[in-house]
Amino acid sequence: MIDIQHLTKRFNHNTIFEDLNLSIDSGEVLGIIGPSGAGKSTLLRCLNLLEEPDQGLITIDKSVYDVKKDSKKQAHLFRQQTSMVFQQFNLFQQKTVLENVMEGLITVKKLDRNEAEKKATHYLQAVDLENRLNYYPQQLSGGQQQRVGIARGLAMESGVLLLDEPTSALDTELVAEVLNTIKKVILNNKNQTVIIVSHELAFIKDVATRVVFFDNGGIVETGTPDKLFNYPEKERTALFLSRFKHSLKGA
Amino acid sequence: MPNLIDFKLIFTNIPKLLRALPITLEITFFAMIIGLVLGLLLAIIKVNKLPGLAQITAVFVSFIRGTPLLVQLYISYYAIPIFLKYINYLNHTNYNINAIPSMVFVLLAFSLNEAAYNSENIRAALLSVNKGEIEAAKSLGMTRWQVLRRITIPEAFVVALPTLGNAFIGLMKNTSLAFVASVVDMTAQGQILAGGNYRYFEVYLSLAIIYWILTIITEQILRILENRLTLFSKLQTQVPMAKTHFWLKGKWGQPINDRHSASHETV
Ligand SMILES: Nc1ncnc2c1ncn2[C@@H]1O[C@H](COP(=O)(O)OP(=O)(O)OP(=O)(O)O)[C@@H](O)[C@H]1O
Ligand SMILES: [Mg+2]
Repeated sequence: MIDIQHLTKRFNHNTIFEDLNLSIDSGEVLGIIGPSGAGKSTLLRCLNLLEEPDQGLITIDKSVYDVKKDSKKQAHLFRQQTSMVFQQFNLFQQKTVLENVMEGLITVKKLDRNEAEKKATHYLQAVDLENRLNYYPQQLSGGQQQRVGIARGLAMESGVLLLDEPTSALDTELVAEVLNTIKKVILNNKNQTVIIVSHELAFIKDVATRVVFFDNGGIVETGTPDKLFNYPEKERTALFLSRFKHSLKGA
Repeated sequence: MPNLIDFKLIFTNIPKLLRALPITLEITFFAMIIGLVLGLLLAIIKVNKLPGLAQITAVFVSFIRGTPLLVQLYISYYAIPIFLKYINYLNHTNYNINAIPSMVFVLLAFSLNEAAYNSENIRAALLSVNKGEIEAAKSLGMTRWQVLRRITIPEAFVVALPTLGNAFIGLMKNTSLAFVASVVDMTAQGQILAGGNYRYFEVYLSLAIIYWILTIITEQILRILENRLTLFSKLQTQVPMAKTHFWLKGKWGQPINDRHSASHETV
């Protein structure tokens, strides 16, 4: 369970969102859509404190992060509640595929090497990369790199997977491969909470249990994929979706 | 003019000079190790702009860079004993300052000098580490120290290695200044030799050969090390560039992907 209360984020005097409230149940797959610059990435980054919110309270399961009370020093503990998959993959370039996934297991989860290796291999199998364990990131295609990123996030078993435009840095022909992996991960573990920001609206429509339309200043509208995509209540939502009519057809 | 150059002497000098090689190497390695550790510390202070400490660091580095090494050696050799005598006087103690081996002053001067220069190189290397990897490490839940130790420093080391290698070679040759603090390194040993037979030219040629060979050996070791380390580093291949869609344009038209990486982030 994720509960976001009164969350406010500013960059200097530029308010990205103010007093944002959102609850996400365990096992939900939440799709966040919205125009560029709306603050979708900023919201995800606030959830794992890569951006420091200015105000508010974030509760993930039993962990609470109160922006006003908790010091930045606690940030690393709260970050263990979520796993982030980055648009630019952000793999550790000097580490192999296996080491990339093992890193957090060893330094953060304090597993011994054998256990870490076993677990990392398991999750790399889940993204169909068991035959690339000893490759370095640069020896992989973008799609493969992103699948390592997903395995690295899953292996931490935080229960909440945050994906920020996981396919927008990829060539078109590699997008499907990564989306399929994400779908497989979602279907394989019904308890896995997923928050995904993406411009792949057809994919969001397909996998999300709930969709949030985000625009300047916060949440405009939220609903099931069917309701939000087919019967948007707000004009801003409809306007935004109309720009994607083409790509949504047949989804 | 049969006796103008004694070629044989150039080579027979070499074993005698090499007897002082351990001193030269001792200064080099000691100063490099302290210079690396302290340099890293200073670099971290600078990168994180730690209040107070950052200003002290800046003055220290500016002083070291703004004064000749020779002068620093003299200051270390003469000023520190005076300072210690003053402490003796203040505390009514009577430590025997003359008992401090002159090597201590030499090691101190070289170490601080090396630390100041290394700190600049290491700082640049730390700042060059891909912010995305640092964020990925943080997002796994690593502490600041873990991120530094496991990701930032190893990545920065690869970047800094060529400049640190140059610093090492420079340091090795600069140890020839140690004689001013009456430490007998290789060069001082050469001067003693020549003082006995007045064959200065031959001795300096012998010294030149030794320093040159040492440098070549160091260069080879560094090359092997660099090849190993950069094999899969980002220096070799570009990270795939993100495609820029119309909706990914930032406010000023720059690709949105560059924005987060541009956000100032402490290491
Ligand atoms: N580090 C930063 N410093 C200052 N402003 C920032 C920073 N990061 C983001 N912003 C601003 O915050 C706003 C929201 O950015 P954000 O990246 O969250 O948007 P987004 O919805 O993810 O857009 P996109 O779909 O293009 O990724 C933008 O106006 C951006 O310029
Ligand atoms: Mg974004």
